[in-house]
Amino acid sequence: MTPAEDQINPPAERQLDTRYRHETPEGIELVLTLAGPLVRGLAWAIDFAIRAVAYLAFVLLLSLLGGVGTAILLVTFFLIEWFYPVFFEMRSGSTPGKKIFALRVIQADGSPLTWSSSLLRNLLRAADFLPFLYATGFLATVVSRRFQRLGDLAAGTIVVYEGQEEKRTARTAVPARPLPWPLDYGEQMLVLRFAERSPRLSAARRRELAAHLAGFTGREGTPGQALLAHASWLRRGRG
Amino acid sequence: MDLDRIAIALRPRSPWEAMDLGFALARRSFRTLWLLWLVTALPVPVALLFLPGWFMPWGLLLTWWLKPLYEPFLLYWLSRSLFGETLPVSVVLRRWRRIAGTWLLPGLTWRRFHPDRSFLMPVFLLEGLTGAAGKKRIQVLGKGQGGAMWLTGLCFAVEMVLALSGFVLVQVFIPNELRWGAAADFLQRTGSIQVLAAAVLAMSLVGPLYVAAGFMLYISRRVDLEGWDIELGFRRMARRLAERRRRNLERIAALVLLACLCGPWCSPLRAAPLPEPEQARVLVQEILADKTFGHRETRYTWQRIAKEPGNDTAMGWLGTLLSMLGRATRSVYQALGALLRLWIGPLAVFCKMALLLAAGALLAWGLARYQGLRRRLPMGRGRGKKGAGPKVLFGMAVTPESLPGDIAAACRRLLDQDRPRQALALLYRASLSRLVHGHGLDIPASATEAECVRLVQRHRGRDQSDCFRLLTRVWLQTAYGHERPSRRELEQLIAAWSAGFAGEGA
Repeated sequence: MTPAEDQINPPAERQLDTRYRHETPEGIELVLTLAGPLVRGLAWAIDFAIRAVAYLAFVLLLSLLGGVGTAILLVTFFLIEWFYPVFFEMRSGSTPGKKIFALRVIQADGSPLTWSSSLLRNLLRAADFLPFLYATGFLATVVSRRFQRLGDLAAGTIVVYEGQEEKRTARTAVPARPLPWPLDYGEQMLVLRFAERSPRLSAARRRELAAHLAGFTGREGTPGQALLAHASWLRRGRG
Repeated sequence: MDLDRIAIALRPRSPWEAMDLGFALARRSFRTLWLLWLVTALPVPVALLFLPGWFMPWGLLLTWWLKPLYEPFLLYWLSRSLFGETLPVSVVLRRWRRIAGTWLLPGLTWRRFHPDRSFLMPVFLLEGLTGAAGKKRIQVLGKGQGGAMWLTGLCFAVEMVLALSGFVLVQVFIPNELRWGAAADFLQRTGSIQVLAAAVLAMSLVGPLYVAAGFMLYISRRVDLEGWDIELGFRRMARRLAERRRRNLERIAALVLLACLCGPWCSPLRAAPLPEPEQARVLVQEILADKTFGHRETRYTWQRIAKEPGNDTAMGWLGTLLSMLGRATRSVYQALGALLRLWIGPLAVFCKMALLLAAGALLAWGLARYQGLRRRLPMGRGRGKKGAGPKVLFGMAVTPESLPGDIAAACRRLLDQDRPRQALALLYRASLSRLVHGHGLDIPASATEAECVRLVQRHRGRDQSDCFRLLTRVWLQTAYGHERPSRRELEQLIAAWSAGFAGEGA
């Protein structure tokens, strides 16, 4: 969900990505980052652990009640096993396990999850589970284009990473210098990104990158320093 | 390394996203990767089939242990395809010495159980680094990335699940009737082979995914550390700016050229003489007096004023009268309302009854009207005997007036004259005429012969319908099939017809 990325490096058709683009009827393109089977499997394992703890607690509590307790226990087990994901998905779009990895279940058209879809995708866990521990679900997720297991395919849902904002580094002490040429939005973002990433780049690589713009950064200082000064100017504009 | 030809979208990615991208990459070229894997990995399990049974568990372990031997080929192929070069499988295999060279020994021994195996492999294989340099490089690349460990752990789990699933799937589909006698023996003996097959299948499914995901972890780390996305963007930016600069230069050159060409014909520019301060002040006043610099203007408009309170008394006696009238009307209404409230229950029942009665009457009237309408319409079914049936059916006149009085006799006469076709036609016409005008059968002018038969069957007795069916069949054969009916057949028909139709008057 970061359209800025598209402006920095416009996506090419042949370039592979895990981004899924959906254009709404209003002509707005939603960019969603799909989540693959491994991270989803881990999220499921965490959810399972949470459920297991809950089961254990219920067993300890309700065993005090004898026969009635067993009855209540079975009903509770049933409800938790089938409706734990539905409950959390309808509340906030993701179960606690998914929340840890910033995952979220949404409709394939980018709209929030509906009740029927949530019920369907979670009831079909029974199919994805077969023959053992989500083997079918894993294979379906790997094969399908949008990382959907059978339940997702039936319900028309996808699992995406929630929009992560790029972390902005604090303002640097580099004196600001205005841009000598007009830049479009993507190019401005690119200059800013260079400044943000430059502490992690090696000095040689920094020089190498900045050298691409050597002819346009003015005479003062090296191209790298000039770019940092421009970035500082841009960042001041962004407040 | 030509970043313009890279096959993945370049952007900073989290380790999880990088693994997802690896999965997508493996899916895109899974067939080649699988083939490469199978070519290198299958020999060991296949050899196991010919070795004694006790060796099987060790063989399985060996197959698993030798994974770093199969994986480099996939990695090599992937690294080439990342920059748009699709190598055939045979070429990759022929380069085995170069591919597996530096990696094989550490990979199979002390790095076999390294949790970051998939991530280390590119460093050794693609960068060709060994020893201290390799160690340093791994330290730089591996700092702050925990993805590869998760990848190894999760892929191991997935492999276990898939192998077990495959085995269970086969077992579930073996019917109980087969677990007996010779078949049971066979199943028992091949049990270890089933396990082997399931395990190898699971390994081969997970292998390409694991290699591709590890490779993408490595690539995304390099994208981040070396700013590949920035390089790509800077290059595009430099191209655009250079293009802009070139265009500006062209524009300036064109202007200079224009100036040079037009210069001689232009009159030289001369500055206007500066006015004196006094003159200038007058000029300023003149200019400021212009309407543009502000002026006064008076306009009158109507404005609505709010009504003042306490004006009612001005209305005098008329107002009092009106208010009295108003009060009187209100009390009348109130009285009526009370009355209505009292009567509302019975009134409602009455209204309901009246409405129901009206609706019933309307319905009855409508039905009657509809019936009458139908009777009068030409298509109606309930047409009376007197109603005009079609005068012509199948191109033949069927009015009673067009027929001779004694049909049977007329037919026999025609037979005697050796005109069986005419005799049959007369008989058929006469039957239709009887049906339509005698029995009031509703045969539409558009009906076919078969429909006539069906109508007769539905509405007339068995005698008539049988006779008519036979008659129709013979008539169709004669009229359309041009078969000459035999005299005996016709005489039988005439007799049957006389029994079925002639009795009732025409």
